[in-house]
Amino acid sequence: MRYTSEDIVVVVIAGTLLFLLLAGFILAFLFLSEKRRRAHQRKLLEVEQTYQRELLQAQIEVQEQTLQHISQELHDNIGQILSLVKINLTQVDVREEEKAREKIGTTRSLVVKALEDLRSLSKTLNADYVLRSQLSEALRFELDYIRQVCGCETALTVTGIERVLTPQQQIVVFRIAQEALNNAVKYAAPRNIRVELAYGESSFRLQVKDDGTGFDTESATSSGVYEKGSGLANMKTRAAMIGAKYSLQSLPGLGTSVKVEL
Amino acid sequence: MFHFLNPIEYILYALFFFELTQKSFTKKFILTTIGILTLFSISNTLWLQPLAEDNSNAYLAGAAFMIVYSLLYFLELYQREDFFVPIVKMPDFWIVTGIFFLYAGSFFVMGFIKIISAIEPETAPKLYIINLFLNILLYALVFYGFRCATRVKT
Repeated sequence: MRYTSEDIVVVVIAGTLLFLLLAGFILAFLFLSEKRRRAHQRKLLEVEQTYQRELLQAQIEVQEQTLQHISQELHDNIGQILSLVKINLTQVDVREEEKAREKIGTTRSLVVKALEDLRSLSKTLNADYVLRSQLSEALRFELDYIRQVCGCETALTVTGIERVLTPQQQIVVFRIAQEALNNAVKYAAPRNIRVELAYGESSFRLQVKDDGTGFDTESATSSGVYEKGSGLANMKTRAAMIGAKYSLQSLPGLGTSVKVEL
Repeated sequence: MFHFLNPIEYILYALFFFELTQKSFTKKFILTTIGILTLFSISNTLWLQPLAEDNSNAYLAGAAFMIVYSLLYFLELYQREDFFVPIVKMPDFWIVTGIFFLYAGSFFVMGFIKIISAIEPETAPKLYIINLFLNILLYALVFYGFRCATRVKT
């Protein structure tokens, strides 16, 4: 086959075009990949922000609940004790020394009790209380409160060696337990509430069980109880947020069980 | 000399791509093509282009595979979502870009030389200088890739 100098021109043009094409390909690839990478990072950032927002919300809810407990405790317990103290002191008659001594002795015991209660309350006033204390300790406080408010029997069992979870896990697990306990007290009228914490070497399980009225989970789903923003939906979302497995089992008349596994 | 060096060069590049990819399909493809390429190079030397001739057939076959490997790498890189470092700072990207330019360019140059040698046989060998420039481009990009690697580490 014979080639002419025109062929060379064609080949040179083709060569130039090929190089431009290759360079264009690389530039387009860079541009598109960078665009995709940025979109991906934006998405990750959004997920992170949602996570932080949910975490903050859980923390605020824990604090609100704690403050509510404290206000009730101050009103119902310490307030009552101090009223008794005031009545006792008013009744002290220095002329009747024996009776006065007895009254002062009783008053002193009441003041000591009030002080103890205040000390225990002051611990929970700190915003990081749940984060700093062990989960069992925070839950015990919660269960004590529930026993007083609802009059039901509560029990906490811990199996395995208790260890501190990450701050995020601790706050979310505690908030889920709090929500499950609240729901039990508000809607189920239970006689017994049992909380179990099970620590394995690399696993953790929280279970909140009550023997209250329970409910039909299927009809609850259709009636929108699990819709976004509701307590039940929040428990599920937050468990997923820390990578935990969440399950809720309930049957009318047979109570409810909420389980979170890490 | 090139009859022996080219297959070794291709096998080393193929192993480089083998290490880069995370897809089992691509890994299998690369391993298969290493076998095909080696067999083809030997057959080419024995029956088509003996040692005294230029082994352009084996060179072009290898170049074609290098282009395919590079395109597979780019595709995989594009599909990945878990990278946090910008692509321009990824050493592999620059090295593969260099390989892609070299072999895509060489592929074209070899054909071009064939045309030129028919018109001006004495000019044709001079055009191999284009390959030299393509090699310089490859080494520059490899060097830049190494610089990126040290920056990413620090």
